[in-house]
Amino acid sequence: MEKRNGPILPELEEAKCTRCGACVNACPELVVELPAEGAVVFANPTRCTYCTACEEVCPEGALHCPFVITWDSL
Amino acid sequence: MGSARQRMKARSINAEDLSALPLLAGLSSTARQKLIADGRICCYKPSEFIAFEGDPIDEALLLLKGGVVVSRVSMDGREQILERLERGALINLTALLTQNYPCFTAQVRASGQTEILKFPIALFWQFIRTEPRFTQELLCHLAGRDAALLELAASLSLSDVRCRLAACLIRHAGSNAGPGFTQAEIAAEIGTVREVVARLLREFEDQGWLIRVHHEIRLRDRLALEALAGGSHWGA
Repeated sequence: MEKRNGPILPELEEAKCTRCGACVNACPELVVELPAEGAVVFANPTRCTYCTACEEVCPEGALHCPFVITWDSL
Repeated sequence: MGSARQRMKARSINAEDLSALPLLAGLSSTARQKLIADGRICCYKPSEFIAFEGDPIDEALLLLKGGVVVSRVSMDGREQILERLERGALINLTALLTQNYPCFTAQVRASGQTEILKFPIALFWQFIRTEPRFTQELLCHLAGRDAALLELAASLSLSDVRCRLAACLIRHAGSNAGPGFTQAEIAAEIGTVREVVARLLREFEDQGWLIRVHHEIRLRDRLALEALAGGSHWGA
């Protein structure tokens, strides 16, 4: 998984986004918003719980929630 | 579906590209020079398709950096991952050896930033005839691939999906390769659908065998997972 600054967010393939709004409606934390034009945006990234609801409902497969699998050190 | 070959970027080969790859380590200097002269390196972005099922095969494809996923897709769109190949793998080896398949019989996509060395099939056969260490490494590589596919077939036939998921989680735990695994990718690997993976992950979490922390799946009960995976014939 690519390391970035800030919270890890679902990956968006903007070219695939048809602005249908399914992810906006599915997000329980109101993280995803539909701007006036272009693909959806993560307007409130710190609230994302990575629940995968957006990935689940996207009819175009434009959103991806990859998981890193590790052994718990506890 | 069009050919995937038009979109990749290419760069020239240097000697460092060929070093430390077991398959090429024993090549004579003449063979190396021939490979540098006749080969080319193509670069792919994560998830970019390298070949679609049905694309013609006219070069040998050696994985230099990154990784690839080899899969087939059913008519209704369900994907089954057949192989995850890492650095050093000769991607289309079976087709090159049998010569019975002029086209790719599965689709191939990059699982991360990936570089592939492509060289002429004639050169591949020349190496087999004249470079014994290349041929020896090739046989080892082929045996490993064959064993993995045998395990996959046995797993899909003989193990239930809970066993396959446990084995899959154990197999990939701690793996630094690639960008991580979506639930759909896990489903494609263990022969089920995303919804089943989501349900089983919740069930495993309820059992205390794992915990999900944001984008991490942390495996907590090794004994329980290994016992469950013991019913699997693939990589457990």
